Formats: sequence, structure tokens, C-alpha cells
Amino acid sequence: MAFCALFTRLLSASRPQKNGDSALAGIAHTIIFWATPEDALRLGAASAAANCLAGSPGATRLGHIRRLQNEIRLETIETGPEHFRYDSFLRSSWSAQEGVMKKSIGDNMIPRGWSFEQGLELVKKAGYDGIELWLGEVPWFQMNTTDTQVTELRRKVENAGLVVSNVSTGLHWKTPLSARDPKVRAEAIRIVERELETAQLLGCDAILVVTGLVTQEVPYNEVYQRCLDAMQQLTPVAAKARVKIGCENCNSEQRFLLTPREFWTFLNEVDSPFVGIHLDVGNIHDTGFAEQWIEMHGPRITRIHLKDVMKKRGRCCDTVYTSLFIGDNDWPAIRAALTKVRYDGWLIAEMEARYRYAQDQQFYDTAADMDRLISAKL
Amino acid sequence: MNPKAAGAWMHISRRNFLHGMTASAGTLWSSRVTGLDNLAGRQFDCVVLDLTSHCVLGESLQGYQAAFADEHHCLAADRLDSRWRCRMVIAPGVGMMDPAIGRMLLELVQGGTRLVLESGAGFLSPAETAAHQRMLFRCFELEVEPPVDLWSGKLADDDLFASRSSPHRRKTIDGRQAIPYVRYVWPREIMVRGFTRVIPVSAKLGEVIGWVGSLAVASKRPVGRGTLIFLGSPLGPALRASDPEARSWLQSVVSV
Repeated sequence: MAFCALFTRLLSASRPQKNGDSALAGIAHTIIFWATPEDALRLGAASAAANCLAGSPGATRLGHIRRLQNEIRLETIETGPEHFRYDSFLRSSWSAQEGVMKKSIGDNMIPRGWSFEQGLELVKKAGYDGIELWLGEVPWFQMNTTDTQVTELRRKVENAGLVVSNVSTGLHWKTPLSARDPKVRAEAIRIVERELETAQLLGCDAILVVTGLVTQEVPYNEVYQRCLDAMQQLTPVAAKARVKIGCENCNSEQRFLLTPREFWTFLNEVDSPFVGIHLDVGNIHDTGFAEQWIEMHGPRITRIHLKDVMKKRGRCCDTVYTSLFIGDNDWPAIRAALTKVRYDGWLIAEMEARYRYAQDQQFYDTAADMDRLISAKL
Repeated sequence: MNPKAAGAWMHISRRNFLHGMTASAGTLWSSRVTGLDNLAGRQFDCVVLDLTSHCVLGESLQGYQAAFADEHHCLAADRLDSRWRCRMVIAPGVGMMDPAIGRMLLELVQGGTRLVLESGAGFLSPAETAAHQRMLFRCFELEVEPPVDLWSGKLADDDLFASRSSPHRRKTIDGRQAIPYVRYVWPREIMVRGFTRVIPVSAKLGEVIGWVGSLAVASKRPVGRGTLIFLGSPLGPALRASDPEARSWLQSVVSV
């Protein structure tokens, strides 16, 4: 199914089409409903070759498909055949676009008292490509913001020369998917559904979800089971919206899915190409190494949050997070890991440590840091 | 042996024989379809009751189903019949209950069934809780109190987590910090994590079998030839999370 979407994308990429392409469209339709990924590739290659003979733009398409086939072979070797279907799809379609990673920053960074439009202007001037919208954290984007108002937000973003990189929310800290109270869980599910709906309206294909919270009160095994249930319940909604759910690794605060392998197992159990990881390289603290998480989850990474972290200096809020390159993250290793897994998606600044003065300056400084990271001159 | 010689031979035409067979098969089939065979004394070892909308903790129902795997029958409450013989019936996550179902369950218990009634009222609204209390008393003469939140206090570092998770301090009961476990003393002594809001049960009738500190949260009482077991702290979620003690306690209740 996933490959089929990709295949149709390949088809549409090379328009205008000639005669042979109507046959291709028929084949693509067949693939969407019936073919396995392997069959899809075979059919795709065959039809592209046929199109070449017909003198249509299929030659380019054949090149695309051959390259894709090579990537898939490589991926199958790396991860084993059991993840063939998802990983190949994810690698080839989850990135923002082929090529250079793009920069984004959260609208919750916009200084208090500023309007959304002022914030967008600043984001654009500072050199970002997109903006992350935080549901429930800014006055302009709340749970009761109507569809029309959300569409208006999109118009403003586009008028500013930006795009929405993704939709995030911190509402699940207060209303977790893992709550014992069924009413709270239902509310948490509704929050994710609203994220998915608004992502569609905003024209982006990924959301962030804080999956579950282990507390003294609600133990790990219960949280695991409830989060699994929630994700399985939400998967069809995400698939229908064609928006991917990125479960964020909030290791220390969440006390959940603390290792990359645990996270991997969780995603395997969810077993959907529409649920991946929204990786925060600053959240790993002293429980591991961001570059290893990138390596392990590569094709399943929906988006990346960037911030630096000062290990062994306490936890949370005041002391532990800082600006890029100041903390203890091994940035050359992180950059290398991004290259290794060929991540070319969105990098989103999530600077939890804010400038106390000249807050707009943080936008410029962070953008410059991100450019430096992307250029790999570290 | 020659059946004719033994006197076992019946004079019946082929047509009559076929008519008879067809009629018998038809009767059997129609009784199954219409559910008439349910009236016969069906026997079950263990039934997990699905109260549908009256089960307010779906995960609890799933927990019992997971714990019993294939060794139980899961039935919708309206399919249960008081004429059946059930060794054990479990009603998980009970919120409200249709009086007719309550009566039927009571009849089953009086006939010898061991009924485990698990309250799911911990997270209900005050009005729903009051209705739950009335229902338990009316149907089973069970006196229960409103839920007690074992985690209603506030941690010193709550402010630190103000924008994040909000862990709680455990409530103090009788001046001592309540431990987050229910201590079951029957049929075997075991500790299982409490489900945040527990329903205390009166010890006037029957015997207390589970405690949180000094709060009685589980009881058992003989009713007729059977036993009524009340759980004020749901066990199903722990069963679902594969808690070994919860499973072992349930196994003990089944095999007592």
C-alpha cells in the first residue's frame, strides 16, 4: 500500500503524460489495492520500461524506480526482511524532500505579546523554511480553534513565505494517553485526532505526540499497554489523513521507552507505517547517545527536534537544556548519523532554554547554528 | 447377532424414517437458532461477563480475558441465564447494572456460583458514584463508600513539573502514608498495585479480604450456596499489564 502511494507519486511527478501513461495509471490503481511492495516494484519497473519504449517521459521514472530498488535491497539487508515493507517506504517518503534538510522553529518560541504575523515575519527573516505549530500552547492555535481559523493560519504562514513543518502539542503532559481514567484517555485521543485534522488542513504530514507518562501512580506496564492501544486505535485515523504520528522520546520526563531498542520494539508492536518517532536529540540526557537513536530509527524518524543538553547538571526546565553547541551532545556524531541514515527531513529548533533578553535574537542565532549543523562544518 | 431375532427390529417404512429424521434434525436446528437449548442446564466453569456500556473499564474486561486466555467463556450479560450452572462468574469494571441482570446474578450466586464483582466506579462522577452505591446495595446488599484517591496529595517538586507531568504524593491514611498496594489476605496473601481510586467496602456483612492500609477494599460473603466477592480496586488493568501477582491471585480464586 505504502509503495503504491509512492509509485503514484512517481507517476504524477513526471507529468504531462503521454499515451502509455494512462495504462500506467491503471496499473498504479491495481497496485494500490492488490499488490505487495515487491510486486509493486516489479510492475512499476515493467510499466516504466514499457513507457520508455512508447517514447513517454517514463525514462526518468525508470531511473527513479531503479534507484528505489537499490535502496530497498540495501535496507532489506540492514534491517531484515520482516521490516521490508515499512522501512523502504519510510526511507523514500518520510523526508520533507530529497536533498538538504530544512529548518523550522516552534511558534511557541514567538515572544509573548507578539502576534502570529509578527512571529512569522521574524521566523522568515531569521532564515527558517517552516514553522512548527503547537496546539494548545499559543493563543492562535487551541483545541477550539475552528477549521476555518486553522485554514487562515495556513494562509498566513504561506503568505510569509513559509510552510508548516508539523503540528505538535504539549497537552498530553496534562492529559496523557496512559491515564487510568478512561475519560482522560478519551480526551487525549481527541487531542491526537485534532492534531491529525489540523495537520491535514495545514498541509503537513507529521504530528508530534507525547506517548505516555510513567509516574509513581501509573506503572510502566500499564502505560505501555495503554499507549499501544491508543496508537493502534489512532493508526487508521492517521492513515486516512495521510499524516504520520511521531511519538516523541521524552526519556527522562516521560520515564517511558527509555532506550532506543525499547522504542524500536514499541514501534514494531504498533506495526504501522503511520507511526514513527519524533526524535528529540536533546531529550536523551544521560541515558544514551542521540546518534545511536538516529542510527537505530533512521527511516522511522518523522521529524527531529534540536536542542542541546547539559548532562549531569540536574533535570528539567532550568538547568539541563541549552542552545546548540553549548551542551554535551556530540554534534559531529549526530550530524554523521544523519548522513548515515540519509535523513533529509525537517530539523526543528525546540529551545527550551530561552533568551531572557532580546528574545528575537535567539531565532537568528539558532538558525545560524542549524545552518552550521546542516553544512556539517563542525 | 441378528437384530430381528433379538426383537430389536422395528417396522418402519423408508418414507416414515426419512420424515422422522428430517423432523428431528429440524427441531434440533431450530432450537439452536432460537436459543431454546439455552434453557437446558448449560454448565460453565468460568464466565467473564461483558456488561457492554455498563462496564466502565474496558481494559479491565480485556485483562480478565487475557488472564484466562481460552479457559473461559466471555458472554454479554443479557445472554446469561440464571438456570445455567456456572462455577464462577466475573463482572469486570462494573459501573451501573440493569436490575434484571443484578437479580439474575444474585440467583446464580444463590445457586452456588462464585461471583467476582469488580467495581469500576473509581473514576465516575459523584452522581454516578451515588447511583453505583445504590445499585450495589439494592442488588447485592453491598455497602460501599465513595472512592478514596490514594494519590490526592501533592509532591514537593510538583511546581518543577508544572508544565510537564504532575506526579502526586500518596495520600495519608490514619496519619501514615498509604502504600500504593492492595494487600489481599484471601485466598492467599498477596500484594497488587491499587488502581488510584479505591472503593472502600463495609465489613458489616462478610469478611474483608483486601486492604489498603486500614481501608477495607475487598470482601467476600456467602450468599445461598455461592459466594459474592467484591473488589473495590480493579484488578483487570493489572491482569492486562501481566502483573504476576494479580494473575496468581485470580488463579487462586478460581481454584479455591
